Parts: sequence; C-alpha cells; structure tokens
Amino acid sequence: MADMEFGFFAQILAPPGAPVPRWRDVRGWLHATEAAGFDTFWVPDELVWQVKDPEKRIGWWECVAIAGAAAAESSSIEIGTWVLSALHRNPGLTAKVAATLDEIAGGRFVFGFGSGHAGPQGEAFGFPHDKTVSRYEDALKIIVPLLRQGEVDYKGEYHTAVNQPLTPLGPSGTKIPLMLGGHGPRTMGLAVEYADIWSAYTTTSAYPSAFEDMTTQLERILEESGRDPGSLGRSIGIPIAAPGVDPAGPFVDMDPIRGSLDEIVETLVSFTDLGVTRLEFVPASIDLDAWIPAMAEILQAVREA
Amino acid sequence: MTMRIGVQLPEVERPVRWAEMREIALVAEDTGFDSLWVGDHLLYRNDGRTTGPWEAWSMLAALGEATSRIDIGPLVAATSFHAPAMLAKKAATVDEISGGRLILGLGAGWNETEFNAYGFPFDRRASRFEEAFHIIRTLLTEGSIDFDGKFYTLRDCELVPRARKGIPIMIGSHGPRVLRMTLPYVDRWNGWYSWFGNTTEGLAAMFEGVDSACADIGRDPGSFERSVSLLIEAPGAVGNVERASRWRDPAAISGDTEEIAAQLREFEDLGLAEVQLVVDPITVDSVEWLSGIFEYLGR
Repeated sequence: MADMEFGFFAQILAPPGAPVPRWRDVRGWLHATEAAGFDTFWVPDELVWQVKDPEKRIGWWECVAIAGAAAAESSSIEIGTWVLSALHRNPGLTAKVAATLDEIAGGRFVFGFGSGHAGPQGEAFGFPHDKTVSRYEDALKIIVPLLRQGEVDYKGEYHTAVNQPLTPLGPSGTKIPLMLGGHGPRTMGLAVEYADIWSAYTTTSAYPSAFEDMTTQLERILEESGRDPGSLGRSIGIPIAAPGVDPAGPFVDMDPIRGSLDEIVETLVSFTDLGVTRLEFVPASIDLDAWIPAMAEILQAVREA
Repeated sequence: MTMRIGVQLPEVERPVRWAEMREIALVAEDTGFDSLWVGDHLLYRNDGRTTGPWEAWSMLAALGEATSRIDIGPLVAATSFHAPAMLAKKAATVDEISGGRLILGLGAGWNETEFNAYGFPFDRRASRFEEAFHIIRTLLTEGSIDFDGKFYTLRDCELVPRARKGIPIMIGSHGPRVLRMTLPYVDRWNGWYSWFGNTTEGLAAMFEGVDSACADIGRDPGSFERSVSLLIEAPGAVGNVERASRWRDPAAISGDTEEIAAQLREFEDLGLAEVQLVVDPITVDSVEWLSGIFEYLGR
C-alpha cells in the first residue's frame, strides 16, 4: 500500500454555533498534515450551505485565496483544489488560477475541477443553475487546451475564449495534474477523456460498498474509450472518524469510516479492490488538533500494510 | 510626511516568478513602504506581442501570507472578472489571511482586448459596475443582500464568514457617472497616473472634477481619502512599460531620492492620503533604492 496517496480535506467552514476557523487555524492544519504524512492538502470551493436557514447556515472561506496562501506557506505537501467549480469562475481565468497556484506552490499543485452543483448557494451568489454538465463540458473545452497547449480559441454555448493564451506558466508547464470529478456517465466520460485523476465521493456512506456501482460504471466507460485503466488515477473522498477523537461536524452523518485502528486500516486497504489510488480524508471531527495526529498513525499503518 | 507610500509589484514588465515577487514584497515591507499593490489583468496585446500576468487574487493571498505588516490590495480589482458576491468572498478571505491588511481597490476594467479574449462583456461597463459595486459594498458592510438587477441577481445571499468590519473600499475611476454613484459610499478614491499626466498641475485639474462630482451629490470632498499612482524612474529604467501602449506614458518622476521625495511632498500638498508608486524598473534593487526617500520625508 506504499503507493496509495492520502489527502486532507481542509474544512474551511464556519459551522453554526462553532467558532469560525481563522487563517492561523488553517495554517496550523497545513503544517500538521504536512508533518503527519498527508500527500495533499485539499481546499474545497464552496460558498454557503443551508443559506436560507440562519440556524444551520455554514459559510466557507474562498477556495482560491486559501489555496494561494497554503501554496505560499507550505514546502513539501501538495496543494490541491477539491474541486474548483465550473459554475464559480470564468474558465480561462480558472486556468490562470491553476497556473498561478502551480507557480506559488513550486510545482506542487493538483488542479481538481468539477461541474459544481446547482442549488441555493449558487442562486445566492448569482450563478446559473441550469445545464450544469453542459456548462462544465464547455468550460473543459477551454481549460484543457489552455493547460495542455497553452492556448485556445473556442466559442461555445456557455463560454468563449478568443485567441486566448495561458501565460505565464508555472514550473509544471503544460503538465499540471488534472483531477476531474464524475459521478454520472457524462461527467465520468469527461474524466476518462481529459483527466489524470478521476475523483468521486458519496454522502451516503464512506465504506467501499458505496462505491462499487460507480467503479463498475467507470470501468465500463474506460473500456469503451480504449483508455488504459492504469493511466487514470482513482481518488475517493471519505469522511473518517479517527479512533479516540469525538465524531462531530457536518460530515458525521455520512456513515464515516470508524472503529479501532485495525478495523479502519483493514477497511482502507480494501479500497484497493476498487482500484483506488488516492484516498481523500474528510474529518468527521472538528477537533483537528487531535484528529490529525491520530490520522498520522492510520496513514503509516496503511502504507505498511 | 503623513502621506502613505505604496509600491506596485511587477506585472508584465518582464517575466517574474513567485520567489522574486515575494522577495520584492518583503523588501518593500522591511524598508518601510506602507502598501503593496497587484494589478488585476489577464492579458495584454501590444504590437503583436501577447503577455500575461499571474492571477491577482491567488497572488494577493500568497502575499498576504508571506508579509506581516504592509497593507495589500488589488490596483484595482476588475469587477467584470468575477461574480460580485464571489469577489466579496475573495476579499473577505484575503483580508482574513493577511490579518486585516486588505485595501479593496475596485474598477470596471478598461482593457478591451482581455475582455474579448475571455468572453467578458465590454458594453455598459458603468452600469454593470454600479450593480457590482452595490453588491460588493453591501456584502462587505452588512453581510447579506437580496438583489434583482439588470446584470446580477442574487437570492438571499449571505457572506459567511463575515468580512471584517472596515475593509477600506477604494474606487479607481474618473468617469463622472461612476464618480457620482460611488462617491457617496467610498472610503478612498484612486486615480491612475496617466489620467492626469503624472504631474501636480494635471492632478489639481483632475481634483476639480472630483470636487465637482462631490458637489453634485452633496458629499463633503474632504470626507474620503484620495490616492493616485505615480510613475517613478529608478536607476536602470527601461521605459515604455508594456501596458503603456494603450496610451503614451507621461514623463516619469525622476531624479535622486531627495528630488523624488521633494516631488512627493508637492503631491501630498494637493491633499493626497496615499500614493502607489509604479517604479521603472520594478526589482528588489529599485525598491531598496527608492526607500532612500524616507530619509528625506522624516520617516
């Protein structure tokens, strides 16, 4: 299991009734996860959940800013976006963000991108809420050529790029790793077509059985496309409650991975049966000072398994 | 001298990596400059050559983390490039990262080439800016907005986590319409050196326009701060700054640091609270050299 990569989901959110994490707290998580052996520090692109209910409202710090600061402040851990939403920014500008984050991170940036979700948070911020996947497809027709060729000229139904270059480029040049989210056949197809890593998560359960159907579908699409399955990384995002750390926070009701150290390690190792190459850990806890060191033990045990 | 003195970081004058950007920022902070500014652009096309800067908000966040005391801000953030509520959230987040040192400069944008390349509408910029400014200002000061406009519609928007109270909002515009709509609300007004020829005479004339807009709307012309960028020549100047092809750059303020300090005093006498120095060349060395002005300014 030495090759499995492990990511940390930075929950840069203000849960109702709990203190807002300050940047110094997030910076603390960055250093702690770097020391604990996480490979990637993931920054989510969310705005505000349950916007209409003041009791349940969850606000988020902005993804690109947090990623920029994290890139500047870290030295060995990868910084990634999990995932930038196609709804939230102009695609050409998004590609420029990726190149800039790659530069600031000294080549340690993983560009996670996805369609985003229509819903109240989008409406609150003024984003379109229809044709999400079509908009995403259009955005990719701009972003992928910019990333891989440094230029694009594309006039689509939702997005336009006229004779647009991507300059300057960071140290990764045209090789920034691209991770694309996909749960349905269309978005999975786009991941198979364009991505270095496919990304998924569920909100119903973190256990491997929850990902079986998705995996079958992905493998069918891979076969139809003729792409070598080994060439596409598989990243699964899962809430996890570390042993000895109180489960809490917005992800605690998603059937997080839990149990004793041995039970957890066994479950995580079994993800390899699904061809998973990366596990992104979403804390089912708000006490990260305890959760991160507890996870260090788990990561080490899984690597040695 | 009480006038604050800031420095604009490199943009497309030459390729600049993050390491050098960071170094210039830290030298500016260490030698006593009050603020650091990052342009908000996506690309320039001049004489068949295309150049581009790094993306402004990720860069500002990185600078906010790398520095500790100096103010930072976009000069100025183009409201066309992001949804206004998203821009407000970026501002709140960079302000948090920097520990409360953000100055939010805003403008409508002017470089038609990049608007066309990225598919941003270039028409009706004043009207679009009016709505964007209203949304951003409301979210930063009140935290929520429900807005149904011509260009933007936001349903029950909440900016959470809330922005720190008191993030200065600075408008970079000299259009009479934009002045009239924003002056009732702004903390600071900003002018670009080419609008007034980089001279005190030109600035005095420009200020008459600002004063007159104030009279139109009934705002006390002394109730907000005024700042301008100034073009400064340092040793090793290369001239013809890339972006200057849109207009011929006026003559830079030049001389040794004592002479430059004297000219800055003349600008201060017109009522400026701050200047952002656009230095040619912009390097670690030129910033260090320029910090020599502080000796003559009693700082």
